[in-house]
Amino acid sequence: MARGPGGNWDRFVPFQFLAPGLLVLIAIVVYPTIAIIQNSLYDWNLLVGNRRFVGVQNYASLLADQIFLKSLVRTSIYTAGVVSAELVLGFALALLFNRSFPGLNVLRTLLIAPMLVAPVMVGLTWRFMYEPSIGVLNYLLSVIHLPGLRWISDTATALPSVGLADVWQWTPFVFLILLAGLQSIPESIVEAAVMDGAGARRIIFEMQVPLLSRVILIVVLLRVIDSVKLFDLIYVVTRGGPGNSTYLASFYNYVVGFTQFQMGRASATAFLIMLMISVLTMLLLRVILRGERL
Amino acid sequence: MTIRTPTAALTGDERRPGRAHEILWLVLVGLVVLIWLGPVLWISNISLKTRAEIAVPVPSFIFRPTLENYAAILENPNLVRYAANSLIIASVTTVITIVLASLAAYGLARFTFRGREGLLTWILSLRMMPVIAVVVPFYIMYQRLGLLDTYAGIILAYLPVTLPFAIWLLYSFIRDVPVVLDEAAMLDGCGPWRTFLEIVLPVSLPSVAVTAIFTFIVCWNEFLLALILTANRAKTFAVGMSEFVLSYEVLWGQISAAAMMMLLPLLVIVYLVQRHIVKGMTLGAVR
Repeated sequence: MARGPGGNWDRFVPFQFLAPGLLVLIAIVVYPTIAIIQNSLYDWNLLVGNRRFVGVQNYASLLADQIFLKSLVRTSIYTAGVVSAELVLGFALALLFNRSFPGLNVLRTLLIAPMLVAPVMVGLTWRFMYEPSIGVLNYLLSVIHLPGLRWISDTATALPSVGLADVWQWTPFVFLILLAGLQSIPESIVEAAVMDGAGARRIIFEMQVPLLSRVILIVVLLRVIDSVKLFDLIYVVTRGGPGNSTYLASFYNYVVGFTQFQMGRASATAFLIMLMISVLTMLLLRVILRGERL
Repeated sequence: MTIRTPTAALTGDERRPGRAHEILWLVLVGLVVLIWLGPVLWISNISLKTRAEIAVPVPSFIFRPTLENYAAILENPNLVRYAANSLIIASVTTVITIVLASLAAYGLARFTFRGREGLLTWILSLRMMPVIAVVVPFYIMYQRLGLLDTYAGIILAYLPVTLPFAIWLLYSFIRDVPVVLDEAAMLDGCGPWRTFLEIVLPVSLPSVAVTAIFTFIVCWNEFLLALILTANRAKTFAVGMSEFVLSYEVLWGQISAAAMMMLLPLLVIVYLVQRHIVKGMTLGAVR
């Protein structure tokens, strides 16, 4: 891409444009990062007020804390389950919508509406549907002669219930991106394959999936990162309960920081989560930037 | 079976099965959308019912609709205040974000300088930063500075979320503006600032509008930062709504009404910007 007429201008010029935004970013991003690392080395309870240097003890006790370790395992399982469900459903929907038809735009708009709704409202809506006595889901189960579930108040079904709401909200996102990908595949390639007698299954798995591999990888990584960060839905739907059966990493961090007010330990947790996200982000950036000129 | 089948359209013989196929497909799509929107339809149904009607689990479609739930939301002074807070916070954040981000995006898209690519990568990586990690140091800092529960505090805390997103999005938009426009302006004797303000910015106004809409929605929907950094004076609508389920008796009718009131304007917005949603949500990685 052409780089613009900047060559003749003062070398100082780009920084006039960049400086305001960058200064703000550095102040509000770099400072907190340093503060997290620093605070994580202290034993510091805001309710008691003491602040004592303890080195890496916060990390050591975190890595020995069963509740924290379980929340990490739970986050991984949750993420794997939710993202694969979204991928399969999103791809199926994208295949279904991959045509041109009058009025299809309106249907597509309706389908992607959930992803712009505030997660808090999504959580409330599903929590209502999970109500054992007046919720619609147990009613639907009774229609097909199945016993009602306790949904969010049963340790076995609480986390899958959160996941269901998550899948409902974010499958449209996966769908939309994969649809854009499918529509970028030249029609002539598909036509040629049809002429050669390739069936739908072969076209999907031997042509469309491989051609979309980069897009699929991007969308999966974006969704994995978001799932690891998930907080709003947990807070609204289950508050981590019953017991601590729906503590995911972010929610654990919230409990340590803002119900127990242990700032040192919360900072250590935040730093570990940040590390995990950073690894995922670096993977994502490698995919996004591969062969792309910035 | 869902693949475009051009052969069906090629020969007259196959028109008939093609049409049946088409109708079947349309029914299938309509059904899928209907099921997916089930929760929304159910909520809209509930929002028009009285408390006694809601207590009956069997969905009913023939009843006398009431607007009392909507009225209750609009007459709840706290909720109205939280909504006003959300509106103020989201608008101010959006304005600040757009000003800073359009400048930065122009600088990144139109100039070459050392470290430019590194800078872009850094900004992109900030987009992924977990909010829970930001909120702990912000809380500690705000407690010291007295910024807890203030507009200024929450707006400042939203910038690390909105700025990277907006810079990157505007960057990918401005990059698509033909650079000959800049060059023509420069030949006419415009400096970089005039070129930006009088040529590139006006041409990019639709992109700026799209970015502003996304930024606004991000702020309006944000929950975790608002939950922790605001308490009463600056409390946002999302946080206010989340407290609804804490009350002794959960007012599902009102929650449903509030959800519908938030959803309807969104649908209009989605329809207007849907061409840009893919780009917006993937930061231009997928076009």
